[in-house]
Amino acid sequence: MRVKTPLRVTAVSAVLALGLAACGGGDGDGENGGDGATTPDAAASPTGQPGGTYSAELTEPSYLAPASNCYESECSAVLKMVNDPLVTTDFESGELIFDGLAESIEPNDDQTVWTVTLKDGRTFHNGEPVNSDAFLRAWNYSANPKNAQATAGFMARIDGAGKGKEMAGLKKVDDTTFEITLSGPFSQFGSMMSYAPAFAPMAQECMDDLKACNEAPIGTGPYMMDGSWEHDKGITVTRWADYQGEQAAQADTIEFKMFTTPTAAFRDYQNGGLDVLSLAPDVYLEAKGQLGDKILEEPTATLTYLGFPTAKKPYDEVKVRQAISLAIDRQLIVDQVLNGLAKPSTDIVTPPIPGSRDDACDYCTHDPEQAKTLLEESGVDAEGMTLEYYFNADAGHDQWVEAAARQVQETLGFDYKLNATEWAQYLELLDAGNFEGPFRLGWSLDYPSPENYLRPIVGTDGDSNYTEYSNPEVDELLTQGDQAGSIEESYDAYHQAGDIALDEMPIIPMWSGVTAIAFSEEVGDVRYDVGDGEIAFGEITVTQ
Amino acid sequence: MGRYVARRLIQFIPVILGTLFLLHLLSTLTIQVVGDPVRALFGENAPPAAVIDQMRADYNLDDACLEQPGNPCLGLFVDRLGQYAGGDFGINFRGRAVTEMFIERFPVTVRLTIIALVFETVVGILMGVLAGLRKDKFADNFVRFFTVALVAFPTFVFGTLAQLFIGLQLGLELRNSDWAPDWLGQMLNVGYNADYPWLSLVLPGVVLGSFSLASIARLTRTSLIENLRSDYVRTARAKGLRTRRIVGIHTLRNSLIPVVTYIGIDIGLLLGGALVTEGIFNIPGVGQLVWLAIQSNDTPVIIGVVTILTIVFLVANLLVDILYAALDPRIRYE
Repeated sequence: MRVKTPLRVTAVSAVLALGLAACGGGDGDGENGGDGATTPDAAASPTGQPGGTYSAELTEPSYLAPASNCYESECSAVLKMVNDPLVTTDFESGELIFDGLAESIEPNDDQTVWTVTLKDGRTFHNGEPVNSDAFLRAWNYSANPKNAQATAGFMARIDGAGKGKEMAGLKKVDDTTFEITLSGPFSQFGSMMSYAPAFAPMAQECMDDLKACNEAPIGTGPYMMDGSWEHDKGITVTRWADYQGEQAAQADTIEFKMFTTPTAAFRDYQNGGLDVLSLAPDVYLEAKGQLGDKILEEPTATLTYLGFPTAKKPYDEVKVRQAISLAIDRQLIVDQVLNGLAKPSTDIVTPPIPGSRDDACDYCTHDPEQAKTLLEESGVDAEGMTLEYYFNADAGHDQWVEAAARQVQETLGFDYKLNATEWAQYLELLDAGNFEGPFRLGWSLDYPSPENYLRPIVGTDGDSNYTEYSNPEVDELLTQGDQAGSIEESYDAYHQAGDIALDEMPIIPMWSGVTAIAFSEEVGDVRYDVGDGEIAFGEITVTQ
Repeated sequence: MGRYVARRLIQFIPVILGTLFLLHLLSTLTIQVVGDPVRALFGENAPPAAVIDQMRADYNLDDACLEQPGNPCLGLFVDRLGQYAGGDFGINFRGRAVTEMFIERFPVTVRLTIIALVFETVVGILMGVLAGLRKDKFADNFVRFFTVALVAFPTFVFGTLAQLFIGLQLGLELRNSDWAPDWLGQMLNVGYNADYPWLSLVLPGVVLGSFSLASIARLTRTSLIENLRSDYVRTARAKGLRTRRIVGIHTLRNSLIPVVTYIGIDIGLLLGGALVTEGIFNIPGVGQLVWLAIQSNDTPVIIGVVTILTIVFLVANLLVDILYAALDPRIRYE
């Protein structure tokens, strides 16, 4: 199979919970990297030449090294500059693009053994060769639970992961070739490896002093650190003169600056101190008023949904779930509550992901009449029944959850009660399955495949399946997709799985996100990279 | 004097222990009621359970008592005391030493506090003296109205407005103009600028100091009016001393005792107020550190930094008390 690119993840909700800047997930990988200049959505006009310096807003990252400890959008934005991806994924076709460190990635017939061949002659910034050992070193470190790496979960499919220092499934063939044996067939493993931070190689010098490496990571990418990480203040990267890869690197120097609040960042932008920033909801309206169409608005891959405790009454009744979904006017909420910064859902898989469909969800429309009919057919009497809604507090969910709850009340007659809890407590309730009613959750991709939405959310025992939904047919179809020989075949199986889930509605998809980016007149070619969930910083050119 | 200082230093111990215990209790209760901060570091898609368990062990959060609401977890408290006594204030959830982060940021907060203190004392005392000497005249009414208005505005509102109108609108004009000197534009900036470590803290310092400015002006005014009526002032007048000398040397010095007391307490307020001001103006100081730690529920940082700030506050107050003796010759410490 071919792989494509990036991944990313979801610290989204956590980050939103912090009220920090926008962010999506991020990863470090190359997006359509090589052909960087061709940005279709250019609100920014490409006039700049390579070179120059610009500054961009960034939230303090969690870790920069080991890369495997990076599982949120901010560190991956930086690491994407500093590290080359192993491979990237094409968002149109889902095919792998070999514009990173890998020459080829080939699975065997049953998708259990994957052979990675590296490009010759690539080195780390410090001159160490990027060879099989560099990958084995990093991956074994990540998989060892003693090291508590945030992305250890990505290694979980490799044979022997999580059991000590070295994974049995990882074998060096020669300096530029290594073999990965999975514990079961998985057709999307190639795509998965496009989540760059989790699969990045590590230099021996870095391994010898991880602490120092975290302050000034030693990478393989187009940019290298200029000085070390100034915590809560900034990170500066500068172009690596000896770079031999294909990832985009237009500006000579990028200064990432950190701000305490989104407002402080926006004030600095207005003051002329900042060239590129993601607009948080706090400042979006003010910015929109001043900048109007100069703001770049792009769809993101983040899904927001309401889950049902499907084992509890009345949510055990499929028709009740469908009725609730039909009673909600998503477009109205998006326009009125979210300032238009979202796109009503038509599928569990969000639009920018290959394999997403714009007509998959029959019950995601607003149809009060059908909703009432379905509720009647279900035999549930809404009279006197109160639905408990759950969401995490202080993360911008209060208004829309209430709006949706009211719409359900007006159409179906259910009273509602809103339960806002702290994030940590919310996760605890979630893990324990203690929700008594619809609960809010979000999801963003780790790797661009429909599988990465369906299995975690609606697969039996999925990592993010908190609804207790379990349908052997869905699982079977997902497995079929995993084992399929081609991308089309696998998508076909995933689509069928998605159809069943969208019909039975253990979750109701609400909308996918839209990000808003402001940039100064001194930069051009600003593009949002969906896979990374970040602005494609490497492609930005300096015009003045 | 030496014995006095020694006695005061010994009094520090219960205060610090009490503060620590309170912080410990609050954070323990938070974890017990709200839930595991390690789990909250990750979102819906958590890493494997083994990773979470390892992190819990690394941060000493795997103690069973953290799952029993109401349990004060005394064992953990004793552990923490031992650790702090050795000068180790722990690490944050990203593996950085709290002490290191504090040292990195403390100078910035000290600069900000100095600017705020100088501003509020100088302007506050001047306004207080003016009002006190012209009791019930226009100057007095103006100062009284002005100070009430200042106190009515929370730092948060005042700071946001100052940033928007002075820092951005006026300041940007100055920075872009040909005629205004560079230092003036930097003094009225929207945020901290590392190239101007003092100048760019002037506006935030003024914002931070303005709340206390009101209190200082009013304290000075009241205490001055009171002292002007006292016997020794009458005696001085009868002796034919000039008003300048009476006010400047005799009355004012005495009147400043409540003001100095206030300034001592105010150092604590300023360090606390810096939390908001540093947040608004993006100043990489201790307040911002606490602000960020609170947002991310980073308990080790909150407890560590607040403990250090408590010590700073205690020392500042001790210095103030010693200063009394200099202001009022009748006060002696034996």
